[in-house]
Amino acid sequence: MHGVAFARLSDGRVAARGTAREMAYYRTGGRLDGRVAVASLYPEVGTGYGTFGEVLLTAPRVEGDLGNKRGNASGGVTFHASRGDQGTTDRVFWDGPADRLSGDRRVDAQGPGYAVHSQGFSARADGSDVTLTGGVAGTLEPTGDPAPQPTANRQPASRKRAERR
Amino acid sequence: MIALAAALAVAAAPAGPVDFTAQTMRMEPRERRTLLDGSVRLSRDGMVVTGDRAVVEFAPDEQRPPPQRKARRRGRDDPALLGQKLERFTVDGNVHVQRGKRTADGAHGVFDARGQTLVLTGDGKDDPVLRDGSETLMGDRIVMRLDTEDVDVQKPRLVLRRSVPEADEAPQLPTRVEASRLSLDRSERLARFTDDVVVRRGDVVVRGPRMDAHYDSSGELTHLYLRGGVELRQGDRRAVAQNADYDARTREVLLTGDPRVFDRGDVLVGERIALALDTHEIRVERAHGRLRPEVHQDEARPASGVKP
Repeated sequence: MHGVAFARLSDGRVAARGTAREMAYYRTGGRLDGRVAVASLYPEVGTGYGTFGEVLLTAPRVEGDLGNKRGNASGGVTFHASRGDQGTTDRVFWDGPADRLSGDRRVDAQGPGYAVHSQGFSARADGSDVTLTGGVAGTLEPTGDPAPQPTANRQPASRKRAERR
Repeated sequence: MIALAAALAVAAAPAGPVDFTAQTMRMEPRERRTLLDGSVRLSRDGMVVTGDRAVVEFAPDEQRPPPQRKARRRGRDDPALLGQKLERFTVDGNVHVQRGKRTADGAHGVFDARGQTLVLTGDGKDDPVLRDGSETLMGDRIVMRLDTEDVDVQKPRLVLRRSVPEADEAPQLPTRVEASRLSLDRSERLARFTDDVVVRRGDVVVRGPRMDAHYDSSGELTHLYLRGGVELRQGDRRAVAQNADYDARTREVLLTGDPRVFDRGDVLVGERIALALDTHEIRVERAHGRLRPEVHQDEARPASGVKP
């Protein structure tokens, strides 16, 4: 498939949506390969990632094993949050059964009042804990301005209207 | 002492960012904290703090409206990853602080971002220690001000090694000071001891409620001023007065404010009484009192004596 758009619904709301320039689905084995993927996530307020607001993820390559609920994004993964955070790492692994994301390459991230670098990371998928590993260095601003209010749980207006009805 | 009060006054630096390194960094958004573990190093404005691990706590949300239904409990604030205002750093395990020439060690350190303080405590066995050059200060709790060079110490135990410039042939006699509290004012070159102050030097013990130690520009002790009722003991000799001034250069204590000396039956009263700590000599101005020479016949004829 070329020029693919997708959305993920969770509990009646759009949890994520995105596009991919190419997407190949191999029914045998349930494998999924994507190229130039861009996804927007809408973390729920109150979750670990909720402070970020809407998060935009990009990756040149995406591979998924739907049967085993595993996958990875590679080739230079980036994220940009509406709060102003941004980060990069070379690749990210998703382990569905363990409900974890991880990476074994350098991570560079910065946002309002902080900048941090590490050699890897491991996180619960819901963001309830995020661990940077392999040696961490960074800067924190103790008296920095409060972070802007997150705009998490943003949904298309049409969907909100539908829910109200 | 602790050239603490010495005038190397460094201008107070504005609060700046905290640089950190660690082996791992675990963020717990729901707890609004981040844990640094393994060879933790924090640095800010020329101060470096190292330890085994540290906890970074984020300040509660300030702009949230008060809850309408249920009282908010700890951990019920919005989750915080990074980018929130910091409340404090808590560093544990082999905590070491370096700030200029001054260093401090303890088991537990809390950097309060609002109060601009670093509080160092021990583990119950070993007290925190503050060092400045060759001087060493211990206490139950050491509070280092981050916006100034001042230090407060609870239950300080201090050795004033530079307090007495001994003659070459004389043995070193360190002056030890204990008190309930010590406040170091670097800009004034002053160390103020309060509550239950006890000074020991050789066989001399001085007690009083308050003592100020003054230093010169090189950090050398120049004077000790005790106020509020002072008692001095040296062997069988005991002296009381309202005030006692110790001159570190002459090694003399000057008692004023109804001073009295009691020495094996002798009672001396005067306007001012000066005691030379090394020679045991006493000089009394406008002296009167009662002397019992027969009691002192067993004493050797020393350089000491009474000079009314």
